[in-house]
Amino acid sequence: MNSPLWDNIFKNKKSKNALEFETIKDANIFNGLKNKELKFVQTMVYLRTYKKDEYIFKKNNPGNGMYIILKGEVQIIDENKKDQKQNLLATLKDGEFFGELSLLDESPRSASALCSDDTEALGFFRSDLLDITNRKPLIGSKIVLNVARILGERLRITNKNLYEIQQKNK
Amino acid sequence: MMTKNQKFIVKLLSYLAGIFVLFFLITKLTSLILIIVLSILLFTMLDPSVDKLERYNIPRGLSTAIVILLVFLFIGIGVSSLTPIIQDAGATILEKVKTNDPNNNNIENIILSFDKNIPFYDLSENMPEILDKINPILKNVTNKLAKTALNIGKSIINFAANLFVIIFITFFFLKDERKLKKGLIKLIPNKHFELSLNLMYKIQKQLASYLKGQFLAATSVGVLSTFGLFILNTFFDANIPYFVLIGILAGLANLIPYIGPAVGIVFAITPVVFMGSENMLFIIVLIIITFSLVQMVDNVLVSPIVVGKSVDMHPLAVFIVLIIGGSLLGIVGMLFAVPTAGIIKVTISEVITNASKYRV
Repeated sequence: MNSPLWDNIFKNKKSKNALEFETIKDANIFNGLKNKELKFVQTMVYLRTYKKDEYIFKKNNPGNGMYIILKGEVQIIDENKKDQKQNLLATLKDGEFFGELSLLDESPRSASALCSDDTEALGFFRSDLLDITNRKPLIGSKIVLNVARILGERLRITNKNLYEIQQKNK
Repeated sequence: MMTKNQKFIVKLLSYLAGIFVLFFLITKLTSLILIIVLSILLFTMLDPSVDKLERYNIPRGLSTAIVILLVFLFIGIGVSSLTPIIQDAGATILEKVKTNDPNNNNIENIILSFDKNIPFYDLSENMPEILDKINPILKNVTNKLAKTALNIGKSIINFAANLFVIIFITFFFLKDERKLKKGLIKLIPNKHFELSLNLMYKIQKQLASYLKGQFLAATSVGVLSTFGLFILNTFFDANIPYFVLIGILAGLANLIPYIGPAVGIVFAITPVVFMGSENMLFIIVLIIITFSLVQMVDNVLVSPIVVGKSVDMHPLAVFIVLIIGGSLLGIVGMLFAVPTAGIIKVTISEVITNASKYRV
């Protein structure tokens, strides 16, 4: 069927799928995964659409997983309910991800994620990581190793910053 | 622009309309809802097996087909090996009932065998009067038993017809689990998305462990009962017929809390009574002791380990649920009433716990 309407519909779906795949492929957390494995991961993530000024999650909500920004902009903010102050911690754009610590435990979110523009994000959750580990242990172990690597890197930076602060205060 | 009160009224009316539609659908589509609930139960039980096969790099579709085929094989072997035994047992009992007329001495034998076991009392002197009183009662009981058996048979045939539909639906639940979950999650608004996902995961996990526990407990009761009856036959010359069938039925009956264990004893005692052996009372006492021991082992050792307290329900709640299940689907309904109530209970408790965490 060579109808421009159908072509357009399928082209849109195809390009969205391709964008999802590329975004997953580029995320550090899925480093080292083969194309076939990445396609399996693609079946495990949830595409969500958010309006500008909509919260993806709020501070102190139980952490269930991470989000990769497909399109849009997300602000990570530390909100203080007592004095109603908002402290901007980071602004994240296409391809960047946040909330990956929640893949490991259900501790409350340390900050809120607020969309500063219309945003599309891929959600990847702890329950799905456990499901992958159960069904495809090799893929699961690669992802867990990547999470550990990212957290290790952050710990190293934190230690370095702490050391510098301690040296300054001496 | 609507005022706050108007908005509240509109919201209230839409909720009421929603409840009304839901109630209407439940009453109209009871059998469809039950089929879907049973498919979910079966899916929850089989999903870990499909996952395990997928671990060996077998595609999901093929893993599902293998597990479903094994289920068919299991049902086929079960039905083909149990049918002749059930037919034989039914025919024997029917034969005993048919020959139970005043001219026949079958009931007389049963009463005499009781008499031998009861000291200081002689029943044989008043035998004609006793038989006159017992026979109409027995006829009434036999008629009722036949009707009940017919109803059980009908509900089993209905269930067998629905079983194919249930397995068909379960196949697609298993094969397209991700697609279905993603489709369902897509409908949920962003505000409740994480909560719903978390709930689905926790409910599925709790339900899987509950069903696995129930299955293991029923298997252990079945095996122990069969073994117990085998020992009675071997060491006490009890001659209990169809002890393997009785063991299996006792295991299945154990799925119905409180009533199940008693039903198991009735299954074992019935053929002994109909056989009317000399030391019948002694054998009945032995059967009661055996089943009590099996229940003790189940309650003290097996159930606490394999079932746990996850779907612990108040006895009154269990009885109400059993009555509802029984009135909807007969014996089969009673069998599945508690697991279904389990789903509802786990769902409600998880919603309450998690909603407070998410401050919904």
